Amino acid sequence: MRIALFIPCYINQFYPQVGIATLQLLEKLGQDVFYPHDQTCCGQPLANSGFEGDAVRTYDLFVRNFQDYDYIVAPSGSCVYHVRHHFDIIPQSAEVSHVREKTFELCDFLVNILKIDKIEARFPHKVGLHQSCHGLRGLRLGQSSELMGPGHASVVRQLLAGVEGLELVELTRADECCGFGGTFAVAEEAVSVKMGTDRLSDHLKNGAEVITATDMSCLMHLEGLVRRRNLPLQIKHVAEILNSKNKVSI
Amino acid sequence: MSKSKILDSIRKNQPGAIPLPEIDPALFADEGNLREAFTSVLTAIGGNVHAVNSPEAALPILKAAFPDAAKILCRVEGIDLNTVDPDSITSAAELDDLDLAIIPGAFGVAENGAIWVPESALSRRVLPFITAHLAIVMDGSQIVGTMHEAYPRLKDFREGFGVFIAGPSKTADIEQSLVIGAHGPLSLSVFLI
Amino acid sequence: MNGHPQAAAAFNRDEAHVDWHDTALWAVRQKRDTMAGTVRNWESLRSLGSQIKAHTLSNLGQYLEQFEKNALQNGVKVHWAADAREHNRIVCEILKQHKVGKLVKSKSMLTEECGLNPYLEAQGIEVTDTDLGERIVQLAKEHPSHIVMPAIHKKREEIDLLFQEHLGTRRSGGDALYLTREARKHLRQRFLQADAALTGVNFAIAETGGFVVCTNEGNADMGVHATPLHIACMGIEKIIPAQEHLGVFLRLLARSATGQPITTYSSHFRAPAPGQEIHIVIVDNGRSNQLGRPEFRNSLHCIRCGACINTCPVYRRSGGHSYGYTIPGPIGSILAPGKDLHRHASLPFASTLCGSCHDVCPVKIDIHKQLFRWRQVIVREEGADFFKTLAMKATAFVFARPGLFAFGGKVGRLLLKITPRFLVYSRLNSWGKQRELPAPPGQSFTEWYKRERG
Ligand code: SF4
Repeated sequence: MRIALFIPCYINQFYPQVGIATLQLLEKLGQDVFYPHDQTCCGQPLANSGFEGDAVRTYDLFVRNFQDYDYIVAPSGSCVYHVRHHFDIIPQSAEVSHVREKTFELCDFLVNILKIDKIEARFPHKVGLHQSCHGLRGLRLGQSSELMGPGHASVVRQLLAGVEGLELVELTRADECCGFGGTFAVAEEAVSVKMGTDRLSDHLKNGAEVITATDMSCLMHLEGLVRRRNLPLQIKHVAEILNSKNKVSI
Repeated sequence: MSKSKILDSIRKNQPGAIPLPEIDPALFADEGNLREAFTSVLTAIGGNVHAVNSPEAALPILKAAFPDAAKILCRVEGIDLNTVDPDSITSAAELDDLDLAIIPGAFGVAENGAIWVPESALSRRVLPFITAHLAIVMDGSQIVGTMHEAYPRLKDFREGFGVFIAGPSKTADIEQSLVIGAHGPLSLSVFLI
Repeated sequence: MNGHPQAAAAFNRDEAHVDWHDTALWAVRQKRDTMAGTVRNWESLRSLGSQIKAHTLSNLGQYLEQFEKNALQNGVKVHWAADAREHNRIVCEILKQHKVGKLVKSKSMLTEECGLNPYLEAQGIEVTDTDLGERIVQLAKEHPSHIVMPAIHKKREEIDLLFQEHLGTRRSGGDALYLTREARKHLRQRFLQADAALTGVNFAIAETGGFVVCTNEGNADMGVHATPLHIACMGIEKIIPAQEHLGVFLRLLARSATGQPITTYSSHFRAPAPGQEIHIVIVDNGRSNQLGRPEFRNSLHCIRCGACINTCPVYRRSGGHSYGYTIPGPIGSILAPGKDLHRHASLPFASTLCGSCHDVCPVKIDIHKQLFRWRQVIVREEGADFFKTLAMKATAFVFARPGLFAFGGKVGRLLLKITPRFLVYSRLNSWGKQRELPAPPGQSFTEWYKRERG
């Protein structure tokens, strides 16, 4: 099985350690992982701003980069959601359909494709899980709090629960949005910041030392607030926690 | 003229036929005692529920609950409390100072504590709304589980007006603090026979 | 252009007020969760609601005609209004024919949408909104900030002052019970003095020609049954095929709206009382256009429960008035652009696309997807401002060229590293106003990978 690693543009540029953790984690699990060098972005920043038409060439490039692999795995629910749901404006060739179907968020891939329910990792901290919306409500990585009845458990929670020493804290609002939202963070700065600080208060109030998520974009926003306000919180992508037995240095 | 304009525009724009789903009441039916469920829901939404053996048995309870009620209009046989002749009322304004109205309810709904009151149970449509306090007397065996079971009972209902009443009137428009008694009755007493 | 961001920023100047607003609405969302959780197979119920609406829209013309035929047979008069202006004219004419000087109204977002109140007042008709929340905003000369809780933005102290001024109440510090009782007395007089009553319509039933109006306060019924003339105004999308479908919608509506099992009164009107007249005004006002937009069509499923508004993290932190449209929040943001794209162009962007609205909606409107689609329409038809367009075109150019992307990333990270802080966090950087930018690493992932793995 040939797995291609998709490292979203901002992770590539600003959070290489998250990409490395993802790669090492998959390799540790015995997977053949490839990294197509020519990848850039899924096009989401353009489309969410209303410039879908201008994103078409980015979509085409994405498909060219990834069409030859069995699976495409990314440490970002949001980008995966975009590939799955918004690549519908380009002609649906066999390659496009293949790429759309086979692109997976990391935790989803681990649990539902590799059928792994526990990762050997150790992370002795109190961790608050921020449930990134596109992963939660878009990809259904878990059941959102709006839906009723028995739903499937969150794949992210499931993996974190298996990490040695890790204590998951319960939040007052289990899955409220952090307010990142791409260009929303800039265009609606006031509301975005307020949403973010409210999330942070919830995590702090409930005793979290570390906030984690499937999406570095939410975390970038939260980290920006944490650092500006000097809050006693660490930010870690879920891949970093799951890979915590491997040493990463860059 | 606008009618045909609107309908033309709708016909031009409406999608191709989409099937109408069937409602399966069994899918939504809860187990458990209907009368108990009805009582607990109605109590939770602010109603006072009394179990009685006959309409007459409601009389002392009503007298005790509304000792100062001067103007009472009763539409239930067996409860002799009328102080006004319903037929003499010619306008809503004449009922403005009504202290208590006692009316029959047709059936109740366990899931939400609502009681169906058809127009024929009233002397005027305004009655259950304008009165300061409302009492509904109802056969306790006439309770269905959900609204899906309620509407089949209204299949042949042809009256001009009917209302589901669930509790006393209420509002929470001032900072979300619940106040019982908005424009309608300040209290609702329900007698289950 | 002034739009949602500016109004929302103004709202956020008072953080304590934002917290108060957010908490109040979140409490309603929680009540909804609790109440929905008690219903067996809630999600199937939502699906039913959605499917019934989809079916109805696919037969809308036929159902409206069936409804009219039955309503006429019941002795109800039926009028059709293509737009807001015609709606207002029709209502006014009916009132004039009956020599109505005083009108009491229960809640109707449609008449708000049509601007009926100012229209009638200009014709010398006294209009009293009788829903307590609506009366409060009417006295304050404001508009509702929420479709179910019109005065949710008002503090009790403000209401206290307002009632002192208009109703002559004493200072009560905002005692809700006292103020509600005073409003009851005040409005009771209005009901009894009124010449006519106007209500909205929650559901109109094609099969019977009847319609249902839901309230908790009993204000719709007080007005209607105390006056000889009842005018009910409805949008064309309020139609449902048959009475049995009320079972589905009445189960969904109040639970989603306020977390009640049902509203206190669900009044079923079919024919006028002796000596009374009922007029129904069926209004299009842009709805049939929306019907013709497949991507946005299911916005017409809306039963106006307000659940998407309560759950919206942006609405709770920006207030209903920031939307500048009769219907605020997520649902307003997908309806408004269909009415006036230019004017409401900022609304589809007033969202993080978190999708909570979709999951909470009792009729499963995919609001977040429609927000995304409206963004595309807006950029296509309205354009974006010069700098945004430039930035997006440049980004698209780079994303399509891996070499340039790698180079640009390198330069960007370097620049971020060497540029003095005061320049990076200048006023132009709205990200950096209250947030740090990520600390630029020495190398990108690609660079690391090439070095380590070749
Ligand atoms: S869109 Fe859905 S949730 Fe929002 S008001 Fe309409 S029915 Fe309610």
